[in-house]
Amino acid sequence: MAKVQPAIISCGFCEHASKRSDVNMAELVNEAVEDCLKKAGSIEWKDIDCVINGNMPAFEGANMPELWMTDHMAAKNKPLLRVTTGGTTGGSVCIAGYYAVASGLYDTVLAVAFEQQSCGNTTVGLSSVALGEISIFPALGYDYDRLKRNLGAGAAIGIASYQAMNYMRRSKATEEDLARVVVQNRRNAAKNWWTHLKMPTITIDDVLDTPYISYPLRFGMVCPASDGACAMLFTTEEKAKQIADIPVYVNGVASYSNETAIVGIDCAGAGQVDPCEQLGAVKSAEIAYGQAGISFPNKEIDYAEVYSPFPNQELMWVERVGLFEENKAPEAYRNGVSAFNGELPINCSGGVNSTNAIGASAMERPAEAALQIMGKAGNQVPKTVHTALGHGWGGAINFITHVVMSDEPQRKWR
Amino acid sequence: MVFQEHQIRDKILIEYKYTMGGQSKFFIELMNNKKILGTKCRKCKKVWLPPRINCSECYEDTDWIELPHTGTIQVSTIVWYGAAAFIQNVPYGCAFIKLDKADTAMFQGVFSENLVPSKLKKGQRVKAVFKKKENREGKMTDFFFVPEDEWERWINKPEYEGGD
Ligand SMILES: [Zn+2]
Repeated sequence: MAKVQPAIISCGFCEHASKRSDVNMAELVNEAVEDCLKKAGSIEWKDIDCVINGNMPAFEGANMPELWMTDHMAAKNKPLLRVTTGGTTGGSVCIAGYYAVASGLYDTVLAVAFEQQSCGNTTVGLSSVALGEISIFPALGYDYDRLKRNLGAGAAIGIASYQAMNYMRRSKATEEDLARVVVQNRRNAAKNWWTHLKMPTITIDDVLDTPYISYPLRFGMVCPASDGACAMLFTTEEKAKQIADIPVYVNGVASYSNETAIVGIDCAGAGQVDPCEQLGAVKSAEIAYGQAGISFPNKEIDYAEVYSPFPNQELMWVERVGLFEENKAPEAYRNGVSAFNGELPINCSGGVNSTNAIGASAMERPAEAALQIMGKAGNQVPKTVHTALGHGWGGAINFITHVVMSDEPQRKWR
Repeated sequence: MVFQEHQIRDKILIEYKYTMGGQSKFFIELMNNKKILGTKCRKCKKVWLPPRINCSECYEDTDWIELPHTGTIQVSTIVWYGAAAFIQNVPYGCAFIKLDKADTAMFQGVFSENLVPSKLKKGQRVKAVFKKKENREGKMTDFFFVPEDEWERWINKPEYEGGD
């Protein structure tokens, strides 16, 4: 249990786009940090005690980027830690920010996550990141080109399509259900200032009119590759009360993974056969809710941001993390439960499906969830949000992060 | 059973496009006009070279300023072995050079007709020499430094020229 109760007092973003060539990597990060500090009341650069930083390794070919951007994120002469855990990087950076305060070591901690994908080649980066998990392929005699084809149309969609197939088989979800998720996300994104794919008038037919990339996923369902950065400011309960109108208390964090199910041979994920089972997410949610004293997530969580580059994942995650019953999400989405003005709004930021600066994406989920509690989100929902969830996904479909937060500190009875 | 090693060889080609963002102007002015631009903090007046769009001392915005082409060596080495792209140039000097109006030092190549450590010692005055316009690409290799007393001879070589 935390020695000190950490709270989020501010979240910042830079504008996301497919090419932010007006800024270099350090300047991109600086924009998010400045936005975060601008909204942090009396907190200035000098008040930050420690900085956590992370992005995907190898995507832009810049190793140790935290040294390059030290001066751009107020880290000069301060403890600086780099965290990188694939797609969950942002979630892990966020959780590291929580730990730095919860441990009692630092009072005010800045957590920064970013990606400038336009500088590199994401697909190549992904293959080398996942090498530990897909190394079995070269051992079977596949060269890189064939490997790319085997995993699908390159990058993450290759594995997401298997996930989608099994999810649709289990839940009887249709392609139209997938398209509905896309429409909800991109219309939400159009109302949020920092997002990438803003499509205020997109329809289900528009999505279904685009060609397949890897069945059942179509071009119109796939997340974009974005340049962007996100920053979060953590501090102690005492300081947060002085600084923020509505401090957001982080009451539960968890980071679990299970084996991959890409190939299921040897070192590469013999442990499971169904890529949409996601025991890591189930376990991770259980632990985080337990810490936060949440017994009925479907009743107690008011708002959730889940990490879904592909629409089938959004339906899958909201079930696995206990917000909807198994196989019931498509129906709930049809009935508008997850919509902006629904009972349990999901991904009103526009989600990863509309904006994906990979290293930042898993931080943007808890950051947007926190802003909904503060009442300061770009696309603020009409209902009052007391308790929210920010979820992250990555690795080779198996890493999961969870951040559960509330406008009240952790319950004292724990 | 006897262990037999087996390897499958593979090659991955990756193309990177490092965007220079707010620092772009430095490279564009270097390429087009042989200018060396630094940035000056609006608050503490510190002059940064390489340029930064924010001052790292006080986090204020900076403004672009043109710097003279002369400066002094802060520390140096002479390279006798290098990567493929540079091997034909060995031996060559590398130094941290502080231009006359700058407050920080920039890392850059130093050439000399007589490349010995005493020619590149701390405090040595140097001046910038540029590649001809058709060969400049907007990269740090568009220019280099030479000891000030050799400058006239370097800029008279057909492949190089001096700044204005
Ligand atoms: Zn300054």
